[in-house]
This record gives sequence, structure tokens and C-alpha cells, in this order.
Amino acid sequence: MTGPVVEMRSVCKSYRRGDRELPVLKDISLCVEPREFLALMGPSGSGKSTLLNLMAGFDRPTSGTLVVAGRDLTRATGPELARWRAGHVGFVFQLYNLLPVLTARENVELPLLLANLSRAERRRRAETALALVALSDRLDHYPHQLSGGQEQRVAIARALVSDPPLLLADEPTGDLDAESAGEVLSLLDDLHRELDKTIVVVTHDPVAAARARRVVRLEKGVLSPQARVERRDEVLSAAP
Amino acid sequence: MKFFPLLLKNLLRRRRRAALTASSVAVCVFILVALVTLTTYMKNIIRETDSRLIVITRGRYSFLDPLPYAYRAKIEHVPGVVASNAVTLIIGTAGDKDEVVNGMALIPETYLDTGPQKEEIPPRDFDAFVRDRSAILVGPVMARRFGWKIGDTVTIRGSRYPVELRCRLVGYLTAEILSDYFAIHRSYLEEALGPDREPGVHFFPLKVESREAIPRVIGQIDALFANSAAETKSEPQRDFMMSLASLARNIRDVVLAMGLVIVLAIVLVVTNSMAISVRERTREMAVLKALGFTDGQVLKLVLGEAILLAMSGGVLGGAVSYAIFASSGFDLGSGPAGHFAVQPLALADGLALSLLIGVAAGSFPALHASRLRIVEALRWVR
Repeated sequence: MTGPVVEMRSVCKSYRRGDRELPVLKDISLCVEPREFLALMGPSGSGKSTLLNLMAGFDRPTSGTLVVAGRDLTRATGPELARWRAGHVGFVFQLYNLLPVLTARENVELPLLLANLSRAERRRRAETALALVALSDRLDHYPHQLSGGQEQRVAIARALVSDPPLLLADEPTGDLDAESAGEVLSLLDDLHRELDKTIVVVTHDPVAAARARRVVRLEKGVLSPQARVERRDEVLSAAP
Repeated sequence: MKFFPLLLKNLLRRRRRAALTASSVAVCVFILVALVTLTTYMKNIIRETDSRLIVITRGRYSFLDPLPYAYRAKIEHVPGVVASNAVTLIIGTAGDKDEVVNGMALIPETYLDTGPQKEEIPPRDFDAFVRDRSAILVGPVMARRFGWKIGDTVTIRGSRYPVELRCRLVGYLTAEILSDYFAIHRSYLEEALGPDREPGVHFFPLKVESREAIPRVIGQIDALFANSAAETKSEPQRDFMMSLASLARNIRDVVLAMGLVIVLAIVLVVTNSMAISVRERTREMAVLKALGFTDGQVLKLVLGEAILLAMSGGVLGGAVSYAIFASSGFDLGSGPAGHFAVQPLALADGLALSLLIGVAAGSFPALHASRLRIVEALRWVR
């Protein structure tokens, strides 16, 4: 892919509460290059999850331009956005959000139901994705039979299985203990290094952000004036 | 089709709720199948009688007002009447527990000309019935009810006619309509009542020489007894059966009205069940959309779930009604007109109703699920 994977120009997002307009994101301009590993940091309520939701096509900006993986998301209709999501973005949630009635393999197969693939091919790809996150021995386990770290790895496999150009993760370690969080972060790191995945992670954890190659800070809906490339050692030294 | 396993797994996640909801649909379908079957049964009887040259003469105001037996001789003199019978309805009790039984006293010699078709009573049974004045024929349901077999002595205790009739069981009335009735000789009832009390006649079934003769015969008979103490009303057997059927139709209409109310209640039950189910899965719906499922696909998933749930209830209801009607003495598909059989059409109607319930009950929750906004739904906490 040539050009940025994510290109935001003067993006604003506000919500209506009664007759009041609540601005959440103000004049955000940001580019994410192919094969980049970006961390979005900021305090609670700073708008970082909202920004990630816009990149994922879950929501639309109030104004501005947003082009992701070559598609102008501000001009897409609902069904177009849905179809675009299926092929272009993988999303990892803080709370994993696996379907409890499906096994690990079936959960990973879910996005492939939307592609024109045979059942055997869907199974094969799901098993490959689960092998990638080192869960080949948990194919037929249900979410309640897995640890939190394993659930999150299944969720990452689900995000990867369609081979989307962009992987988005919203506080992927927020609900995990330190050891599981370390495993998940290493996994994201490996995906970035070995598979050249473009990854954007929202986190308020400096340890998690330190895995990224670039860190962008958001404060009260505005990219911090210090928003610039921060190196891993800078992020860690700024941690309390 | 590739979404079917997902649909099924979602449906079965709360098994007890799904089973109870499906059962409520099953009750609904059972009622419909029973109604359709009953209607078909009545239509079959009417259609069957339509082809026969039988006229029924009864009391003008009700067939429950008995007519004098002496009318029979006058009726037989009406040109066009080929054969006549005189039927007295008997209500009584039988068995150790004094269970109520219904039957009729008639004239055996002309019974086959004016009553059931020949194939409805086995010839050997009928011959034995004609020969023995104290003989009785019973329907198979009644025989099963009391455990009676051919050769048994059967005692009927009359209630309107307070006599004890000891009869010998010689055969069966195989007509579906008579499956829980008995038939005895009129002369035997007369003898039991004694010379001082003559049993009245509830209706005279008459065989007429041709279809064209029927209107004339009817007119002449009713004119014969006009302005008498017991006026008559004559009508083709088909009309007579229809007037009986209209009684049943009134009952059916009441049941139908109640059935409609039940259907509405069931729709609300299934709607509620689906709405709760969708509400519990708000976050999952958002995840599906986040993965790329369109609003339409989410709508179809939820609607499909509701339809599958309702139709499994429909299949259950159809199977139960089939089993019940088959095991309660209604021979499926047998008898002169396949009378009280669960017809494939009734089962198809039942399945169509369950489909309708599924669509009606699933529409609102499906629409709600399809309109969920991902960002808001992901924040939903149970």
C-alpha cells in the first residue's frame, strides 16, 4: 500500500446531549504510515478510544477528512462501512468480546463467514491464525475455559484472520495481569516485526506504549502540543 | 446457510427459556391443528352425506322433540319413499362407574338402506345383529372404554327411559361418526318399556328413489303433519348434518376466538423472549457489526433465530397433535372419509402459523438489533 494507512485531516467529533454539543475530538490531524506501530496515550476521557473508533469505522467524524486504507470513511454508507470493516480492519477490544457460545476456532472463523470461502478453508485459516497466537491446543475450548490472556490472544487471532492492513487495539492489556499483559504485548510486537502489521494501540499504560515505535498523546480531545515521535526510553522515563 | 450453526448456538444458549418459548408456540399450533382437523372432519361428513339419497324427518323445532312412531306408516305411503327407519336417541350409563353412554334404538331390517353405508358395518356383525333382538352393536371407542368384546353381555341403564337393557354384543359400528355410540333394536326398547310407554322417534331417516324426488317428498311429508301437535321438518341428510355441524361450528367459533387470543399472547411471549435475548447480547451484536456484519445481516440473524424457535415449537405442536389424535381412537386416514385424521393440510397450516409467529415476534427485536450503534452498544453492561 502506498501512502498512509490512516490519514486524518482536521477531524472533529462531538456528541449531542440534549441541546448541548459536547466536543470530544478537536481538529485532529494525524497520519499512520504502513507497518507503523503507534500508541495513542492520554488520560481517561481524552478521546483516544473515540479516535480509535473513528479509524475503525465504528463511528463517523462530525467534520474533517478521514481516509483509512485508501477509503474515505466520511463518504461511505452504513453497509459500505460494514463491508469495508470486514476486509480492512481488525479490532482488539479491552474485554476481548468473544462470543461465549462459540469455541476459540469458531470465534476466529466469525469474520470469515462474511467472505466467500468454503467451510474447510475457513477452518484452515482460523487454525492458522490460532497457531500464530500459540493457541493450537485450544481450538475447541470455549471462552470460559480459557484464561484472560488466552481469550485476548483468541481475540487477536480473530482480528488477524482476514489479514487486514490495519490492526487496532483498545486497551488490549487493560483487563489482564502483568504476565498475560506481557505476553499479549510481545505478540503485538511480533506481529509488527515479523508480519509488518500496521498497529495502533490505545493505552494509558506506559509499559504497553513503550512497545510502540511512536507514541501520540491526546489531552481533552486535542493532540498534545508535544505530540511528536517519542522513543521507547522517553515513554518509560516519563512513567510515574 | 453458513450462518445456521451460529444461529443455532445462539438459540440454544438459554435452553430452558428456548424450550418454554417453543412449547408455548407448540400449544398454539396444537389448537390450530385441532381446529383445522375438526373443520375437515365436519366437511368430510357433509360431503359424504351429500351423495346419498337420504332424507331426515324430525321435529319441526328441534330433533330433540320426539315424534310419534305412528308417523312412520304415513311417511312410507308418500310416493318416492323407498325405505324408512325410526331412530330413538338413548342417553344412559354403563359399566361399574356408571359412565355416560350415547346410542340409538332403530329398526335393523332397514338400517343399511337408511343409515350407514354397507361397508361401515361388517356383514357378519350385521347379520348377527338382525337375528338377535337383544343384540347390540357398539363403536370401537366405546368397546375399548369398557373393555367389551364380542359375545359379552352388556348392560345399558337408560336415563330418559328408566330401563335396564341387557344386550349381547355381536359386532362393531365401524363408521367414524359412530365410534362412541351403540345401536340396539327398537323392538327391544319397546319391550323393555312395556305397553304403557312408547318410545318417541327423534328422527326418521328415509331413503328416496331419486335425487329429483327429494324436494317433492320433503314437501309432501311436512304438509302431511302441518298443524298437528308434532309438526315435522324434513331435509336432505346433508342439511341435517349441517345443522348438527352448525352447533359444532358455534363451539368452534368460540374456540377460534380464544385461539386467536392465545396466538396474540404467544406472539407477545416470543417477542418478549427474543427481546430479552437480544438485550442480553447487545454487546455481542455490536461485536458482530464491528467484525463487518451489516445491519441487514444482524437483522436476518435475529429474525432467523425467532423463526427457528417458533418453527421448532410448530413441529413439536404438530407432532403432539398427530400423536394425540392417533392414540385417542381416531384412526388416521381410515374410515369412510378419513374422518378425524390429522390431515397434512392441518400440519402445514400449523407450520405456517408458527412461521408467522416467528416473523411477528422476531421483527421488533431484529429491527432493534440491526439499528444498534456499535459504539453505544459496546458500552452496554448487563
